[in-house]
Amino acid sequence: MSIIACYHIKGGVGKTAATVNLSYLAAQESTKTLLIDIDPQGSASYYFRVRSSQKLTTKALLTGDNKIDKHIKATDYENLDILPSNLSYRKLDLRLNNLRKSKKRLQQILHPFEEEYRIIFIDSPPNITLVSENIFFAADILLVPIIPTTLSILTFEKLFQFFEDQNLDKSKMFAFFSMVERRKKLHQEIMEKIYAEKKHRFLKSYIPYTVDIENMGIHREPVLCYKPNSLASQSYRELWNELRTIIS
Amino acid sequence: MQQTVTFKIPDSFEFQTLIAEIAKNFSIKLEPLANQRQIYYDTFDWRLYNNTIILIRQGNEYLLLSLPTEEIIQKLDWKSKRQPKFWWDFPDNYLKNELKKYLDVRALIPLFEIEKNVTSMRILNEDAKTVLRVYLERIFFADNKKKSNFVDTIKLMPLKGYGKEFIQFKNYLNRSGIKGESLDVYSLALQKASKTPGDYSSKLNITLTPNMTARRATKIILRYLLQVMKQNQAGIKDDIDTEFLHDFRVAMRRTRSALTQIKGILSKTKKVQFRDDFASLGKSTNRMRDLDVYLLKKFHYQQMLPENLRSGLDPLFDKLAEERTVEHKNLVKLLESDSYKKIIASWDSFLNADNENEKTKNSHKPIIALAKKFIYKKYDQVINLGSKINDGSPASKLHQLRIECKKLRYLLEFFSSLFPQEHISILIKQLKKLQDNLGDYNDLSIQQQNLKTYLVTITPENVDSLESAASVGGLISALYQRQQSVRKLFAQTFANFSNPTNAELYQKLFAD
Repeated sequence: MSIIACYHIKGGVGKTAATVNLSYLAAQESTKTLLIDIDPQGSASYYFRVRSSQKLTTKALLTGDNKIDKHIKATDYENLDILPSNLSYRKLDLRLNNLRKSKKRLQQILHPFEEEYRIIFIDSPPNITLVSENIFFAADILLVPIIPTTLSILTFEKLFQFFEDQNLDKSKMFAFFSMVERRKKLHQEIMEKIYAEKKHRFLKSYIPYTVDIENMGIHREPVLCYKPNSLASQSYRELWNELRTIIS
Repeated sequence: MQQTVTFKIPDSFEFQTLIAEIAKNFSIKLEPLANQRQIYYDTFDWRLYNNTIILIRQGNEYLLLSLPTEEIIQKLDWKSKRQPKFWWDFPDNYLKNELKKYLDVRALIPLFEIEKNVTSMRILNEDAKTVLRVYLERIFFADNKKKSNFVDTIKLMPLKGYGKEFIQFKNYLNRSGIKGESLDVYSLALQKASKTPGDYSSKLNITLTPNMTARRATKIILRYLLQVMKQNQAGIKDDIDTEFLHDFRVAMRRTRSALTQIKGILSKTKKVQFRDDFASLGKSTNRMRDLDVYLLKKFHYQQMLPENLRSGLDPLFDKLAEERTVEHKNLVKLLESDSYKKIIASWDSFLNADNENEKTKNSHKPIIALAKKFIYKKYDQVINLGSKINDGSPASKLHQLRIECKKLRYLLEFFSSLFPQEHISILIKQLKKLQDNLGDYNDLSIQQQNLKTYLVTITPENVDSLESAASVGGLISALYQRQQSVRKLFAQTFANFSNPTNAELYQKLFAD
């Protein structure tokens, strides 16, 4: 089982769109895939038209055992299931704080899913909190979408520093450029610089900023379903191909 | 989670009216009518069926399904020119790994073909989210020329987390008059194709009763073994996989073993005649089986060598494969020969003749008494032989023990139905461990000998033959190493077999 968490310190970087489309692509290859929506905003769940179960509270999530299984729902796509988000997740941090081994909790919770799913995607909430630390710990791959702007790069450096300070495994960090506007000179320059520096591990594929991706909220399905031949879809496919080689 | 259910749609229903009715009550999304042709596969000994799964091919898709719900376990989209036969013919994929677990060296054989006209439908909730998948299927059995041979079904495939919606829809169907037991399409199709799952197994499945006369019981055993031989003939001729010949040979060896070990049942002349007939038949299949074993071991052998020596084995395997082609032709000739047919026919009529009145020494004793006596005696012999073997004993002693163990194994299997099943299973399991050790030792020794014989034939003409000699030499020493470690394990393996608990069980069951 591989756990891929999509994460960024701040929101609005194309994190959920990436998680939704990548998990869809994984499932298309007959790989039993689970998407866990831990972001209390529940955008991934919304894109898949799945409502959260009222009973899936923070408490239910954290007590682990197989009770979570009841709350998992099939999406409209074969091999892809989702554990929908719940508003109470915003209190997840407080809950975790009161538990022993508070940083390894998520890893324990995910353990029972190993049998059923081959890939688990996590749509993570932003900020560095106890929840994100749990995700850093549990994930095999931490996928970080980055908009090619100076500030974004700085934020990424901060995350990198955090990993260093906390002695976390940096080798699981993989960044990719997201919401790229080819027309903007700044975007191009930053990307070229970062690729050349080779300081951090960046995937070669990047996701453009397109209206097709923006429209996911209207269509409520992966962009690969309603615009399979678009540039956006093609980019997600390339990103997935790259990611898949890393997993195997 | 609920499982997929399939209902037979009564003849009085029209598909179109049914769809219209459903659309009145539910929000649905219809997909265009699709035509599917499905070929179902299993092995000759029903390995997939025995594990409640089945492999089907549908266009370019291979689907591994769980039975009887036909839920997809693994799917592979693969355009192949050649029909895959063994698990190793499939591309690297999860499906291949799954098949490997079940098939081992057996080939996939097409069982039957069906054709389906499928209307797929999704039931949607207020968010336009799919909550249930529904398939209306007209399934045509056997060849599509007989278009009248069909059944109409509706299949409900529940989705995780939407159990309520599934039950709601099922109840709706029930109220409309579509109900009953879930239909098992696979079983129905098997029936239509006149196939009986489990009609072949390489395991002995003989039922005897304790007070049967020994001759009657022996004939039941021998008839069963003859049946196994007959069942495997066609597969050997068509060269479907190696196990047809293997099972055929085992049945023949068991026959010979029964003839000599269940003493005093048949007239001496008959016994000697058939024993010799089967011995010479068996002998003429030896080389073929050896070749099969080597060729199956190809990958294994390669793995024993460092990578740069692996290709050096290719000439050897090419030669073996060539020889196998010739051997197979000879084998087919043999099976089609008059002399073979005559042996089988006379054996058949002998086993089915009514000769209950001819008395021989043991023919009319109850089988249970003889079974106990023969098994216990053989066990005693095995223990005696084995206890005399130490780390310095020659290979011939191990060989002798191996033969006696095999005889004991056959006796236990012939008569297993006369004793408590759980006890016999323990005894067979224990014996098998010992047999495996002795068998490995023997196999490794024969393999080395054969490779040495082959090594002599390599003439040092060029670099290739030099490389080939190096590979074969490397393989011989690897096999030797392995054989030494197997030999070291013997003492402990035999100690486990001869432990007091096991001895007590033999005594309790067979000593009177």
